[in-house]
Order: sequence, then structure tokens, then C-alpha cells
Amino acid sequence: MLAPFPLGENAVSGGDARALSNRRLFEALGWSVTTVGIYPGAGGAAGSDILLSDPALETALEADMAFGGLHMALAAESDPAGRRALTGAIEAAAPDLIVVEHPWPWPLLRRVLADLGGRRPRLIYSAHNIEAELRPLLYPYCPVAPGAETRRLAVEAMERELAQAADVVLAISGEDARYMRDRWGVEATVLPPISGLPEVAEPEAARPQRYAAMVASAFWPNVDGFFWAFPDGLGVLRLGETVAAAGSVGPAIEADARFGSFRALNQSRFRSLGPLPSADLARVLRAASCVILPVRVGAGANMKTADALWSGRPVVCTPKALVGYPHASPGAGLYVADDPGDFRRLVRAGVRGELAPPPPGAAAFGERDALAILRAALPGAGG
Amino acid sequence: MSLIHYDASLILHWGDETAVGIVRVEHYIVDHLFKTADRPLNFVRFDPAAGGFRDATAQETRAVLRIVAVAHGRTPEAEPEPAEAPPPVSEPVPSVGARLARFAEAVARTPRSQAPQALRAWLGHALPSNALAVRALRVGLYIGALSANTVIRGARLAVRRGPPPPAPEPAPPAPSRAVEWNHGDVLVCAANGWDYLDYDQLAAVVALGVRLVSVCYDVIVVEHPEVAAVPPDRLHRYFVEMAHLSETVLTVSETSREAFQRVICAPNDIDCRVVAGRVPNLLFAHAEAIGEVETAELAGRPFAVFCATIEVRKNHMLLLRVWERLAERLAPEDLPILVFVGKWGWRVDEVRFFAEHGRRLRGKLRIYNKASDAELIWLYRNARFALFPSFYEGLGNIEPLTFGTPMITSDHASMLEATEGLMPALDPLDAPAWTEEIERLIREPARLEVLRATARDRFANLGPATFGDALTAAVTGAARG
Repeated sequence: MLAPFPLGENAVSGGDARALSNRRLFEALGWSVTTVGIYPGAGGAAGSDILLSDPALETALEADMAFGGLHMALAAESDPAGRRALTGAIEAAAPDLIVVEHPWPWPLLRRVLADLGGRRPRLIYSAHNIEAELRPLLYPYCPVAPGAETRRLAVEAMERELAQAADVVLAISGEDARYMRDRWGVEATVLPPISGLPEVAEPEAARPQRYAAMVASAFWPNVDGFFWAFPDGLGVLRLGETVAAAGSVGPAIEADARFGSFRALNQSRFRSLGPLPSADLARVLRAASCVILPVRVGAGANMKTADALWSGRPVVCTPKALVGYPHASPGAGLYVADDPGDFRRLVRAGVRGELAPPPPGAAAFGERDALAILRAALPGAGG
Repeated sequence: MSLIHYDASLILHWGDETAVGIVRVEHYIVDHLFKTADRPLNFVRFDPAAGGFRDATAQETRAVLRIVAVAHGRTPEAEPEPAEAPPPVSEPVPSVGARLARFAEAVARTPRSQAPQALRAWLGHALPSNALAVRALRVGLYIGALSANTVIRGARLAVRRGPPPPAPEPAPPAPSRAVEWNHGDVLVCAANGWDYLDYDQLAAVVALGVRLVSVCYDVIVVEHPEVAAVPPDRLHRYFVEMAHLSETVLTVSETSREAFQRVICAPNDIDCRVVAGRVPNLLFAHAEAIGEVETAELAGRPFAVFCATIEVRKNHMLLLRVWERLAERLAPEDLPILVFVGKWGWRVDEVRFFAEHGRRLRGKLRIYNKASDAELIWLYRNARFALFPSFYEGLGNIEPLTFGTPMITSDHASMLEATEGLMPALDPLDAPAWTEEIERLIREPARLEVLRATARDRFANLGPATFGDALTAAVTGAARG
């Protein structure tokens, strides 16, 4: 499994949560999975990971963040050490399958496979987005160098080529699958996200605590989603009612100038929990009065939606948060608002225990369903 | 019997200094509650050492009474407190004051829960129908749990008149104690307590069933954080917490009510009762009792007055620049002296520099930081005209207008509301317009006289002061609907 980030035990973003989830699924099907992360960094890499330490890459990442993946992909392809490392990893593992998370490892992999020759392992492309379509949505949040459209087309060419070269393409949503079919002529398999959180004991308190849990990484749209919902601070909540943010989104929100404008009020109603081990995250979600998903950009793995649905708590979300979750529909513990005022009122109602949780078993799509999809997509898979 | 607790922290903080703005309104509120409240009044003070509010000590209670009495033109008692208990009831022909003192002492020995019955009994048998006396009894009641001396002094304050008192006696302070909050009590907070309030404690008090009535003067610091003296996010939080916790928020103008709804309630989706009332002009109302004191260096000389804390929002710089320009245009003998009355505030380094180094303003600028009410009344009455170029106001100081002195004000909505649109109102950023208008008033005495007549004859500020009624309704719970 190739990924453009390290794959540790605990996910720090939706992307690696999806990749970790996939790894567990493949292992459940009977495969032994070796992961190779390919990403910028210096010093010693963990395991088989490949670090890209090109100063020009660092500069490009800073100046053109919206296309960080593309710069990384090109740097990896042209890095002889990276090629050697990946060649060695493939030769050592002699894999039956190569799973590519995101398209960014593809240029390097393509070159290495060409150099290796011989029979190619089956190739699976695990698409987290339609990357070329996502890029413009990121422009408002980060530096973009001139000539963005040229690079956007390069991104599309890269992911299209990978999708067309792959034996199996896993799409994260029906929307993405339709795009691939209509634009690239590729029939993708929709594999909806599933939560990877472990079962934990029920909270000791009989009544949920008065907080809304939010789980997200510091990905800019996640930060922006919070301020979309609470542009004037958290005054909609009373003292003693809070939003508890798990993941790197918490420190990012606190560091944002929009938080500072209402700092005194927000600090009294906001708790930044930071990245948490899976078990702790599971406890935070299970003990919450509600879980909120102020998702404004309909892209990415949206793993936080899977975790929210897993929690069994009332979920307050935007329509965008449900992209890729055809089995989740409003009602029965799922409260949807596309207006910030309506969203805030739902959050307040949720914190005060006024929203009914979903009935037991409502989050019907789980690991068993995902495994069935993979088995069908990969004839010969065990599990 | 439930109580009205009044947060006297700010009144006590400012003490005997001449009250302006919020503190002056607080004096009005305390006086109004004395006169109208349907239950005893208990002063509380925020004390970090005590972990929040505590009952005011006897000494502090006396201080509040004295301060409020002076603000209303009443002269506090001159005589020292009696060292012994008052004469027995059998003493022949006791004065009203002596009877009050005796009653007050009795009240002081009465448990708070029984004080209303005691009051009714005593009112029915011992006291003549006398408004002053009744108010005195209210004073006695609210301090009923304090020392007898306090009660006696409170009672006498209301019935005695005489020369100003000697310096406060250095009596050892009475021990403070935690407030006994009870369901149905009312807590009135009118002091913009963002510097000291403990919201957790306040929330706990409200959770006990205490009804919070707060006063909002304006939310300017939220709309215009650049003029705030302290971090504006702290001020914003104060308003939001008060909106959440208050049963009623009283504002001092319709402009402030609208702003509070728009800036605090609506964005935070807080369903809060916000009621606007008009505060009477206390200085004018008590001018006769306060009297006036001439400022000798201005006697017989033309001057224009601007009374406000010298802080960035009040826009003193505009007047300094206008006066510089006028000094170029007018003969020195024609240019009135520009008089600033107010304490130094924040973000006014430029004003200080100008005041010290402005060459053209030599002899044409006076700054009085400690004017008394009596001096202020003289200044208002004797000014050619008054000025108020503030950028933003919740209420707006139109005291000069009540004394019949014309004003030029900024055209902010609250100023138009306060002046009833009768006076010239200009954009506070438009220095040329101010220069032109002021020059006209100086060069055209007839125009000034027309404005003076308007101020005198048409200004209706002495109409209904609805704030008192709104306060009474809020405190009694009538506003709950």
C-alpha cells in the first residue's frame, strides 16, 4: 500500500484514516499488507517510508500549497533515491496487489514498475477525491502560484491515467464514481467510508455531558467550516456548554484570527483536545451530547462523518458532510442544516440534549458491508 | 421575603468623586429603587478575595447612601453618630429623626425575614405619613441585618439636612459576609462589570432562582472595538453573558436597545428581553439643590464647553483642529475659549500633545479634570454653546441642552435621539463642516439666540423619564409578561 503520508496507528487526518481503514479491510480479507509512505521530510524514515528531502520541493510546497500533492508526485518521480527505495520495497514484498492511496504516488510507481518489467501486480487505485475538481475549492485557503489551471490539468491527467491503468478503482462516493465513468470511462467501485474507531465502554455518566464534539484535522476547509457555523463566536451556547474539538483542528481554530476576535467568549466555550488515540476519540464521541460536522467543502474522505455516525449520538451536519453516505439520510438522529443560523440552533439543541439520538443500529453501513464490496471487486479475495 | 441586591461595586470604587456617565445613572437607579422598590434593598460588592459578591459592609453601605444623597443634592448628616443607643421610647416628644433612629435600631435587631412585618406594624402605629420617612424606612430595611449604627445613620440621612459632614470616621470596617441568595431575589447589575464579574458565580446565582436585571448603556465597544479601553473580546463576552443570564436588560436609549438586539442577541440567537428607557437628566433635576460654582478664569469671557471623558471615541481631536483653524480666521477676542471637562482616558496621546504644544491654542484651551457638579452647572449655564463630536454614543451627554445652552453634536443616531433633532448635527469626521458651523455661531449672534430659544422652549428632555418605570417593572417582575 502506497500513501503520500505516514501510516501510524492513529489517524491524524481523514486521508490517513481512510488509508488505515482500507488496510484493515485488506488484512481482514487475508492479505498481509506492507505500507510505504512517500512524503517530504528529513532524517530517518519509519519502516519502508520514503522521505523526499529536496529543498526545491519545500519551496514549492510553501508557495503553491494547493498543488502540494502534485509537486510531491513530481519530486518523487525524479528522485533516484526514491526510485531505488520503492524498487527495493516492491522486490522485497513481491506483492500480489499494490494499493495506491491518492494519485500522488503514481508517477513514481509507474516508473518503477516500468523499470522492473515483468508481470505487474494487480493495481488498485483508492481515490479519496476527484483531485482536479477539488483544487479550485482550496484556492481561497492557501497560497497558489500562477498558472494554476495548467497544474490542475496535470493533476487530472495523473489521476485519470492511474484510474485507467488500475485493475480496480475504489471511489469514495457515488458522485466520484459517476465522474470517473462519465469523464474517464472508468467503472469504479464505491466503497463508502467506515469508522475505524474501536468499541469502548459506555460513558459512566448516565446523561451525556453538555458538549458538542467535533473531530477534524487542521485541513483549511475544516477550520473554515467551524467559522462558517460560528462567525460571531460561541455565544449561542450558555456557560457550561462547550464545543470540544478533537484532532489538529482544535489548535488551528484557536490560532485563527476569527477565534481571537471573540477570544474571551470562545475560550469559555471551546475545548481543544488535540489529536487523540482512537480509544480516547471513541470515548469523546460516545460521551458527547451531539457530534457536529460543519463541512462546507464536499471533498475528501469525510471519515469524520463515519466516526460521527458510529458514535450513536445525535449528529448535526451540513448536506456536504453526507456526500458519500447514501445510507445516511436526515432524520433518526441525523440533523441537517445548510444555513449557519439553523446549524447553530441545532448545535445548541444538541448540546442541551434536545435532539433525539439515532435508534440503535441506525449506522447500518459497517465493516461487514465494506468487506462484501471488496470481495466482489476483487475476485479471489479471501476473508 | 425576597430582597433586591444591588451591585454597588462601581459606586464604591468611584466614591466621592464627581460622578459622570454610568456612575451618575447608577446614582439615579439606587435612588429610584429606594423610592419605589417593593422589597428591601441590599447592597452587594464584588470582592475577589471573597470569591465573588459579598454583602456590603456597614461602612460601605453608609458610603453608598452618602454618595447617592450628595448626587441628588441632599446634604448628608453633619452630626457624628451617637455613641449610645437612642433614648427610650418613653422620652417625651421625640423628633421624627429620633423616632426613625429608634425604629431603625429595632429593625436592625429584627431578623431579615421578619423585617417587612415590623415595617408595616411600625408604619401603622408610630410614623406619620411622610415620604421621606418611608424612604428612610426602606433604607433601614435593606440594611436591617447590619449594625444598629448603620441603620440609624441611614435613617438620619433621609431626614436630616445640614452642612457637609466631616471626613468619614476611621471606624474599623465591619466584617464582610457572603450574600444569602434566595429564590425570588433580584440582583441589579448596572455597572458594566466586565472588569470584575465572575460569570460562573453569576450563573450559579441565577440558577438558584435569583432574577438578574442588568443595564446596558451601549455596545459601542463591540461594534467599534478600536475605541475600547480594554481588550474588546472581554467586553463582548460580558454582554453575551449578561444577555444569557439576565431576565431583563435595560438600555438607556432606543439606539442602545436596537444595537444590543442587533449586535448581541441576534448573532448569538439569544431570546432576551431588552427594554429601553429614558434616563432623566439628574444634574438638571437637582441643580437647585446642588447650586453652582463659578470658574473664575472664565467669568465674563466667551467659552464653549465639551464635557466627556477624554478618550479616543469622544473625538476631542476634531475640536482641537477646528479651533486651530478658527484661530487663523478669527480675531483672538472673538474666538471663545475651548473648555474640555472630563478625566483623561485612553488613546489620547495626540490630544495631550496638542494641548501641551498647540501654539495657536495658547490661551484658548482649558482642560478641567476634576470639576464638581456645581462647577459643571455653572459652565453649562454660562457657555456660549456646547459641543459633542463623539463618534459613537449609547445615550449621549446632552446636559448643556437641559440648561438651555445650544449644542452642536455628532449626527450619530443616539445623539439625534437625545437632542430630539433640535440642534445642528454633523458628521464627526467632517472637520470643515464643524468649522463652518461653529464660525457661524460665533459670527452670527442671532443664529445662536435662535438655537438658545429652541433649547429653552422646545427641548422636551424633561418629559417622561421612562427608565424608572422600566426598572420598576423589571425588578417587580411585571415585565415578564
